[in-house]
Amino acid sequence: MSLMLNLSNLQPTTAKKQQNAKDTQKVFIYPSVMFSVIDHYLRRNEKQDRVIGTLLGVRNEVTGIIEIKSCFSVPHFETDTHVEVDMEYHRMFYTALKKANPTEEIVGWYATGSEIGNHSALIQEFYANEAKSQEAIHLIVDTSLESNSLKVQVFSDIGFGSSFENSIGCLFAPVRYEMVYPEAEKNLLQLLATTQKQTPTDLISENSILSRSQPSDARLVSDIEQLEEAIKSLIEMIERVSAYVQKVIAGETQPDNLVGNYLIDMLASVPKIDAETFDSLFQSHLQNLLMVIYLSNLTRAQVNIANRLHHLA
Amino acid sequence: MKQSGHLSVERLLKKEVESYKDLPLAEQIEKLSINLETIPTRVIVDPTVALNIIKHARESYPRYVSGQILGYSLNGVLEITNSFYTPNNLSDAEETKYQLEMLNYMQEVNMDSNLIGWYTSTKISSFMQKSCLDIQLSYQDTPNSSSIVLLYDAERSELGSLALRAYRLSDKYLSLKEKAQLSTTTLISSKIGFKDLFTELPIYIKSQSLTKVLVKEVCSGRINSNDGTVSGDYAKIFEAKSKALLKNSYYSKKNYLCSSIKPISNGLSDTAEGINAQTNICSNLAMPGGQQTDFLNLPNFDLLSLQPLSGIEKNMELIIEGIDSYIQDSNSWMYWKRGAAKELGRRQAYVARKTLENTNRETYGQHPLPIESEKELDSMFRLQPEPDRLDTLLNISQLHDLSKKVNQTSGPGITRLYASFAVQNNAI
Repeated sequence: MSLMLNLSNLQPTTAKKQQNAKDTQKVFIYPSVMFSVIDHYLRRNEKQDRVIGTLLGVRNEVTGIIEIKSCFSVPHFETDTHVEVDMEYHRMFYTALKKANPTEEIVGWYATGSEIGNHSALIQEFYANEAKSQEAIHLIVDTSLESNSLKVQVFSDIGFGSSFENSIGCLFAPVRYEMVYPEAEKNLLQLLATTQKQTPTDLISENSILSRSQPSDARLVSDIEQLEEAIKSLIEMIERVSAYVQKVIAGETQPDNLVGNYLIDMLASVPKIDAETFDSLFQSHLQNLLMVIYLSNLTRAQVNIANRLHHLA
Repeated sequence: MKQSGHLSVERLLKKEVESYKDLPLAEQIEKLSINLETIPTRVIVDPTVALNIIKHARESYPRYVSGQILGYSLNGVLEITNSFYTPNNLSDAEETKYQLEMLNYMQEVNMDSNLIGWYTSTKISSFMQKSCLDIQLSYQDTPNSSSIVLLYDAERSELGSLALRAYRLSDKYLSLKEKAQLSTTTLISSKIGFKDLFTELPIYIKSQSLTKVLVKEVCSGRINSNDGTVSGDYAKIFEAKSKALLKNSYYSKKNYLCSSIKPISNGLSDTAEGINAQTNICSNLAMPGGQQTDFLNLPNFDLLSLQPLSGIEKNMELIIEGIDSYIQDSNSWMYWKRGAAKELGRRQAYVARKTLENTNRETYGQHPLPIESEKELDSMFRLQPEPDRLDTLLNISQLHDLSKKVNQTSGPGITRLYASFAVQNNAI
């Protein structure tokens, strides 16, 4: 008799667990979220160790995939024993944001630090409520670099199933995540990365702040400059490959089947067009381009003349 | 690591103040106000802002969006540290209220809550419109305002380089703003040309220490996934990816001029990453983006694709449109000029006839007829108002920009063409 009772008690919790585990399969993070979190961390109050905020995004309930698209910071205050989150602020700000961007919903919250904080279970409970009874996810970014890297972790909570009234049972289970880089964002990050490479070790010194000329600030480059970069590195790669091939031929390096496969693949990727066809294609294309340039230059000259004429008294 | 945005400004100001401490008070104030109020000559954009604008513009593409940018201006440098969306379809009053509300929220979490302009997503080549001019005018209306407008072209940015520009109205145009219309005379006397409407400011993307760390981490591929497979164990990933690649590559649609063979000397681990970055095998496997973590180490090979030329066609169409409307403008001005000349001739003829009649009457000893005052004459022969020359000016400016753009895109086009030429010749 008592066994029966136990079983019936157990069933709902296990059911909930399964449902939860199915819910969030994977999380995609947009780069602006990471940058915002860092910005928020840099703007924290004095003596504040960590910052928290709300994650907004889109949830696909069928596939269990969440996309974190943006976030905003929420003021909070915590000591060892208690925590206060400005829920009023959170709700008001969310409503305000919703006006401008109606598609994004609350999907979870972020915090900085290397591991799950003391009061995370409590905050998680709050956000689980906010996320419209959906599962809320928790993003942790190690902005203080305690683990010697900017570690990013994503968790979702699994109901503990404890039936005691005052204890909040919550198990943070890691979730797979991935950063997403759409084309335009990729361009920006690339720009940042290349400038960083050129000026590797300069930390912002007091002086450079004063003169406002930081060499680390990336300048937007034009198409042709980027193309030059691309072609340069392409040539460099080809040189490196041919050096490698020479070495293999000379017997200095152990040949590798996989690399050989890649090389064949690459050579095959050059479309085979016979010389005449290519020549005519090339010529006509080139002529088109030159014509376009000629016409646009003509327009520009005309425009300049018009401008001068305007000023003739 | 503590060099946060607002902290550094605070410290900077303190330092500035200290350096003036020995000067008399009046001079101190003067120096400080110069620092704070100089008109910006360059713009520094925080990556957060740039990313937000990019995201905002992409999500509502092809509809154009706009928003507010926040930051501060110091020593002639405008630093943009934050931004927020402006909701569509709000009335003016509602919009102001919304802005104030947002600014309050921003302030509460130590963000800069200083409105320094606005951004809008548009085609950069077609932003020169009266509406844009008017909005920017309202921002720059107060003296010493350092407001700017940031323009972002989503289409161009997806194709190649990031198309983000900062503009201000020029002083020349501001001095003309009292006049409702730009007539030929003011045009001549002010010597304002199409290049003088807007001033473009150079944009720099700022990277703070921590964001640098982030970019480094992204480059190294360490930020990826916490399911354990990616964190460091390159050999395994390499194997998995190369298998996937070999399966896919022969059918891969993206044939660049070359697939990546960059890092052979760097060891095989990088090879996998490099190839991964370019052939996008993972985008076939994964959902939205694919794991292209290593792309940051490589230049943008999309630029080598012969595709982006299609943008030229659109630009040429726009140029044709521009020329058409220029001709239309000049025709309507000529029409006005002819009409005005005719009216003026009639007026002069009338006055001449009247004076002749009066002299005749005088010789016969009659009283002269009353002569109309200038004002009465004006009302008798009403001159049509001159068409606004500002439109023409904007049009020319746009044409100039467009043709420049065509040149800028076709330059790399030729380069690409020759690159493919070289590849073909060597292949044969």
